[in-house]
Amino acid sequence: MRALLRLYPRRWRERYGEEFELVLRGAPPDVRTALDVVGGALDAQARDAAARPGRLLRWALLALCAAVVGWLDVHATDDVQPVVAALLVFGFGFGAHRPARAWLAALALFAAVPLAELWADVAHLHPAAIPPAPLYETVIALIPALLGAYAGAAVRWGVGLAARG
Amino acid sequence: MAAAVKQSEGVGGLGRYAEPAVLVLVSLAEGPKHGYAIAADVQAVSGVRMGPGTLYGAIARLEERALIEPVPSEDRRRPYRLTASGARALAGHLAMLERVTAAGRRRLAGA
Repeated sequence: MRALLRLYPRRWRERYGEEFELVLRGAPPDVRTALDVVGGALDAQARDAAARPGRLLRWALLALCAAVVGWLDVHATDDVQPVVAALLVFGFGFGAHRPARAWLAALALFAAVPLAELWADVAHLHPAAIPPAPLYETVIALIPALLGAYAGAAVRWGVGLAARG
Repeated sequence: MAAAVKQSEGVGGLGRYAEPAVLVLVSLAEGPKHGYAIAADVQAVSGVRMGPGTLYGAIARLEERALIEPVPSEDRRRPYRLTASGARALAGHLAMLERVTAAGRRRLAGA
């Protein structure tokens, strides 16, 4: 049950986490308590996001970039270069912006590729002349996503080091 | 302006947390309590079993609106107390509930 505490925003946990845990220990360990804790976590996340519009904007921008990657994956079927370029460029941007979360940006951008492939399968968007590749092959898209994100993070870290010393 | 002040101090606008917030305020009207004691008191007074998620959702909102405040403590269990504006908000809310209760009883008696 204590693991559910991880669902709350970090700032919330820093403020209420310890006392919340003590109350949680005294609550009956049943489904009702678990649902109450999950509901509270969703509420706390929503309030945290509303209090920090910049964060919400970052997520919206990441979703938009992922959508562009997905669109390119479906429509640029004869060439992987546009998708790779988009993963590198977007990954670089997000990695440079938040180096500590470069991995998250890379994963989110990469996820657009298998999701787009799945969508194309369901909606029959693959051209008849080109049979769709197996879904597991899309894992290769992780490489440019991670490369871009960590190149951006490395540049940001390098700039930070140069500025300090 | 008066309406704006009343709104900022009231327990309205708390959405689904308005009822738990009132229960927390009623509990703290007796004196400072920590989270576990609030939950136990609420259950004793109202019969409502308030889960930790609901309890701390209400506490966070009340603290944000300065209707309650933490009491400095060395204990890991941080106690909270009612502020002056919290006491005013609770009094106003209870007066409204009394009016609603009275109207409801009158109407039921006439039905």
